[in-house]
Amino acid sequence: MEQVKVRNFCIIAHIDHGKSTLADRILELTEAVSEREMASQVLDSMDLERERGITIKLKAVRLEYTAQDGNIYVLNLIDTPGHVDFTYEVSRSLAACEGAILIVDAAQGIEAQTLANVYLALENNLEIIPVINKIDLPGAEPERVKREIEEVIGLDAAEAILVSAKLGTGVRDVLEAVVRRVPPPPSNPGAPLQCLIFDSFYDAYKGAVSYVRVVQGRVQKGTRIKMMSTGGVFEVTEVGVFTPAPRQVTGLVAGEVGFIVAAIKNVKDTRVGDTITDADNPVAVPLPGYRQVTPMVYCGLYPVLTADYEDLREGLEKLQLNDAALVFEPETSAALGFGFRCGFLGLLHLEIVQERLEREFDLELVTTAPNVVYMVTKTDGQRLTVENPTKLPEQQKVAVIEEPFVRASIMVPAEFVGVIMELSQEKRGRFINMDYIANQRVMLVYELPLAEIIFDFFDQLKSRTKGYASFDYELVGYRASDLVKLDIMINNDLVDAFSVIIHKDRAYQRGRTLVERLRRLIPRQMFEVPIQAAVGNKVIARETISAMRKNVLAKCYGGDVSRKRKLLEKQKEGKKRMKQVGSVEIPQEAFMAVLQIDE
Amino acid sequence: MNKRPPRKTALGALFSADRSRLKDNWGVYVHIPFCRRKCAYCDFYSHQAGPADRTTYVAALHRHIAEAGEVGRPGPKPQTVFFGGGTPSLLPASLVVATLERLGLRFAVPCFAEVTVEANPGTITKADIRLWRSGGCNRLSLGVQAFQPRLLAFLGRQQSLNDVVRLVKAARQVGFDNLNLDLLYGIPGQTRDDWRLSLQLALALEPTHLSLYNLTPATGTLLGDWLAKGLTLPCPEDDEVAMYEFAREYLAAKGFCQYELSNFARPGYECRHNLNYWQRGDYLGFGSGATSQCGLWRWMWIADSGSYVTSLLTNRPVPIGEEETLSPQVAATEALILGLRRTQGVDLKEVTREYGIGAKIFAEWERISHELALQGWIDYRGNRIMLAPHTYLLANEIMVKYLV
Repeated sequence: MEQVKVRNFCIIAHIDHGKSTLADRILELTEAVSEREMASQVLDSMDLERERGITIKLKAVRLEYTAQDGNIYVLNLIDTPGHVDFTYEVSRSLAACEGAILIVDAAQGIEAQTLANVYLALENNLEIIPVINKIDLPGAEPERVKREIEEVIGLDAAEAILVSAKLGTGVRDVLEAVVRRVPPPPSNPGAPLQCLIFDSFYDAYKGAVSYVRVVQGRVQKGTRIKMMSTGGVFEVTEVGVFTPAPRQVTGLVAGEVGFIVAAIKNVKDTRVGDTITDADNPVAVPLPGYRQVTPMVYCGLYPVLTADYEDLREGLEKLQLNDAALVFEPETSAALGFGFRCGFLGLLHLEIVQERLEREFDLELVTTAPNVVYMVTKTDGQRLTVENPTKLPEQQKVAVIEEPFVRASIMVPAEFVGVIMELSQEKRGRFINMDYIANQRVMLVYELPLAEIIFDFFDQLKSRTKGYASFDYELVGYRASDLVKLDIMINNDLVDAFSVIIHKDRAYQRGRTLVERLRRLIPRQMFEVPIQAAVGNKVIARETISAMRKNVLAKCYGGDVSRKRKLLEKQKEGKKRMKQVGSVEIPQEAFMAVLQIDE
Repeated sequence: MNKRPPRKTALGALFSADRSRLKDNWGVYVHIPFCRRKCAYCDFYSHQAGPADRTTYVAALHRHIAEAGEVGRPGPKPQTVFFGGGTPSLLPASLVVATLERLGLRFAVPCFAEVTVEANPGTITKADIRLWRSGGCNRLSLGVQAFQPRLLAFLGRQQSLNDVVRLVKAARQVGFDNLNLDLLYGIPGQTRDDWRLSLQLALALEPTHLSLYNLTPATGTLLGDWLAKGLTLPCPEDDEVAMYEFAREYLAAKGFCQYELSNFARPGYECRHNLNYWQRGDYLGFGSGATSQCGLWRWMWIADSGSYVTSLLTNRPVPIGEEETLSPQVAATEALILGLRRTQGVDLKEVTREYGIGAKIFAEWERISHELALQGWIDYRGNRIMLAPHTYLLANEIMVKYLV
């Protein structure tokens, strides 16, 4: 294939603007998938992705398209995730493209995430093709959306393509535009090999498989490749493309996108962002890689049944093979026993990992309250990073606690400005800017503590604006805040799994809510159990679970023994699902209560 | 649980092979599954039956006993016989006596055996009782439950205070000096005063034994249904606890000893038949729905009197309804749990020895016992554990801890 006939592109869109549907139509049109195989949303193959309607892991698909000029083009479609948690993955796929299709919903117009993705694309010098989707909807206003594209993003919308991915209208125009407007990749197949690994996954039979974009040179079966960051040398056993089913090809040349298999046992040897070169004819300098992902949210994951600890480790290791952003290390909790401290890109990432562990590895987990990473300066000047509330030094030794702040861009119809301001205020936000954009829509910019965002900011935003608001955020750095550690004591024992770092003004309210909720969720024990919330040594809220009065079988004679024994065995099973903290048995739901605080 | 196919006369096989496999102190239970009507709270196997059905049932029962073995075989003799139900007093007294005679012949029931028959006031005449007594019954257990007409009506029981008084008087006259009364507490609508009065009235009848049961609304019973649907309000837990505690104090003051969670007796009048259950002794059951236990094996004859009768009268094996062969560890755990129901508790070492379970489990039990004793939930002396009185009503919580 001549390089002039290759196009590498991706689709960027706000969630629900129809990215997956358009991708499906493109696959149909290029006959990559027969209609029979066409389960809706082919690229979203993970069950979870389908259920939640989001794309988590990006995929690359190679398509052959006969354009109106009579030529056959190779189109490499690289899928990107839409959720803000996964911005990192978006930037990865953008680096492998020359062009991007920007989808905007014809009824909803530009949303906060649309903007974020456009800026990423512009940073990567991509050719952007605006597409206005869902023109079949009764509320569609393509002309208004065109104006928004011009006014808000500053793109020329004259050539914006009107599409209904659902009905298939305009899809061919999109592909023609890709062919016409996206530049072919620069081609120098004769140069020494240089490939960018933009993703990798682990296959039980083939070992680590790398998705690559060949930047220069050529790679084929038998090539001895070298990983530039680790120096590892491997012999390529298979080269291929996804159509979307994997298909072997003789080789990949500069500008092409595909996968490389080289009997690599450890996925760590195929680090995403690394450069692959020819071991016998290496390049001197690696490609600019990716910035290292830093987890934003941490929480503890513990098996409900202690015996599942090793299975949990195995599950995390397996997920990590395909998810460079997931980090974990062993942790011990006085309350929960052995588990792992895990770091995630955001709350959605956390939920997805938790669900996958429970579903794919059949584990039952207790999750501790998620928290951000704090920077603590002690009175002796020593600085430390705190990823776990229990690691916070005692109050007297803490000089300053800093927490991460984000700059949040919120886009809403003008009527909701008041509501957003109120919400942002509640969440300790600082107003930065407000801009009226086309058609009575407003872009509000606030700086907010990340910790507030990871709780229920997004849900609140959605519910208070009847779903009209969209938002996006980026980290802007650490700021000192008046933070304290809120501890929960059950039967006078501190239960570390319940500890949270929280703003001083919120501690009382949260403490009250939490003890109240725990009183309802912890079953009565044989003795009275006090539940207290404390900041430092000061108890700020208290509830009491009264003692159980009666649990006895009135009668047990010859004919009753089997039945009654089984009844007790069942009670025992129920208790096994609880965590014994001191002499108190705490059910799994109680630990969940910390996660679901609506104050 | 091992499900075995119904065998040709499981009992027969057991006896002709080796009757000495039964532990000393074993007892015989005879189930009479007939009731005039079902009480609202009852989850036992029982149903209504006409006189002809009752006679056929007894005929089948007698065959069953006959199958059970031959006279003169060596082995321990049963120490107790218990006619329970249902309502044994619905059978003509002569049939009860005839059944007892057959048992005596088959198993050489000794003359000092404890022979209990359960009766419902209002289903029996003085002549019947006389016949029972002369036929060898020596312990009478009356299902009184309550004395208040409104509570009795709620429970679906047809009896009057008068019936009870007359019956007790008659029983005394014909020579029953061992008398139990069953009473219920925790009946919806029952007050603490009701309960106090019930206990006073009960003691006025001078029983030797009292069984005080906390009414437990089982699912599938009428009462369970009413509660689930909110048609009736349960007795407040505080009241139930207060009633139990009152009874314990009151009866102690009146010279009764509590020897099990729900059972109280004048010294020497503890029910030997039931004590055997709580020692996890052996027992043979006859009748539809009756349970038997021999060592690790426990089985129940089919709880369907129709097929019970048909199979016996057509010389086919009696179907087994449920059966279970326990591992020594599970059996030992049962012995422990049952033992904990007794106020004098259970000896961990003896249980370990009797069931031949490993030192590891014994050590684990010891550890649990130490922990519980430290918290004051149990009394732990030597190798014996017993519930502390303030945990009688929390017995399940303690027992569950011993399931290792």
